[in-house]
Amino acid sequence: MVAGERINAGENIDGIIDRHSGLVYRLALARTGSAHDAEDVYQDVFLALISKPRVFNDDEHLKAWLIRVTVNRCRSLLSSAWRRKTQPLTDDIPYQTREQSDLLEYLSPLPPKYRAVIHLFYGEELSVEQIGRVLHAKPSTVRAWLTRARAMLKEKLKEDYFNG
Amino acid sequence: MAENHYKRVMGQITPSAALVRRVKAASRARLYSPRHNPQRAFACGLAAALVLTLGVSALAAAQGGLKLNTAKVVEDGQYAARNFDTGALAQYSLEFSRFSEVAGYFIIPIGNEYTREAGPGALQYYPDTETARILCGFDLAACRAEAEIWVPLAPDYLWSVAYADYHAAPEDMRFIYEDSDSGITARAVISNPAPEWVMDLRFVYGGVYYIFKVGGSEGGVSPREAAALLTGAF
Repeated sequence: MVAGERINAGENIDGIIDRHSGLVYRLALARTGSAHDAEDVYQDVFLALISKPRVFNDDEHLKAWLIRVTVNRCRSLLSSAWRRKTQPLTDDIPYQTREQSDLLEYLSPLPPKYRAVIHLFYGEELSVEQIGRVLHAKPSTVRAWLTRARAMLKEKLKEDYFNG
Repeated sequence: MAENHYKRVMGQITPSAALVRRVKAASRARLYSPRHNPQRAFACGLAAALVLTLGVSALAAAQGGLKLNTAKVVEDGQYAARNFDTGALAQYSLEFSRFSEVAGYFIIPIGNEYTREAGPGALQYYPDTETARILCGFDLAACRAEAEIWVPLAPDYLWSVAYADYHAAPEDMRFIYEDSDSGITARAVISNPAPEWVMDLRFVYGGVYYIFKVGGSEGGVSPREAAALLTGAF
């Protein structure tokens, strides 16, 4: 793919899935905190793209769309009436390493919104402005979310340290 | 938490190969909403009819050659077939009343006169034709619901027979997995003394994602009206 080239999702869906699988899945995982839910969201996001193929200006445009839709799908999932009455029967899919489990464990007390922001900032290395654009929030709001999320993480780390 | 630590550790997490394969398979299926793609809707309808036909025919053959009129389009996405359990004229209708962007939602209303023994909502497939069997039943007096999905599933396609919503103690519910040469048979049974329950079984077979829901309640929706939803992207 040439940088800056327009992307017709209808003609290149496999390539898009290969390139952006990780982005969508990890964001969904960070935001929902559940591997099962992340799989649901992942599937929904790409199926949304498949069902209505779009043309994107470039890869950044596509990436922003994927982030936006992933966040929206997570939000819908977490707030659905069906989910509120649902109780998982099975354990989450185990993560491959202890480090991964620990990391997700640290993120888990954060509200989903903060988890997404932390992930986009540290995991995807998006700037505050970019996050603001894809989440439709002001940069100052994103900064505030980041500050609060960091403070909460710090507190959690401190607790764990003192609790051994 | 160091920033580079986060990126490094999270960066190692990837979706499973099976999940990626499923989505790619769905992209090849390209099943669109009937609003956007009437031809595709028609094709989907044919596929649904074929599925039902296979099930009906197979069951008919198994039940002494009962000749049945196979599924046919009644009107605008509605399908009907004679009841293959009793041979009565009870009608199934599968409708795309909640057709999603990609996956067709088939609603199989439970027939009015059915009992658990009659096997309402039964839809049977057979392994030699890559088929599956789906049965659900109700015993109104005992408020007992039973659903069976009998599918030869390759282990990596067993996405999840994952969760359920219930108003009974968890011990009232059991999930049974059975390995066999052809794969895994997943079976779920709810024996629930409470009048309200709904069960959601999910599985993937042949790259196709299915949700099977069975539900009922004393209040809004009576067990007679409970519907089994089979979701599939062909």
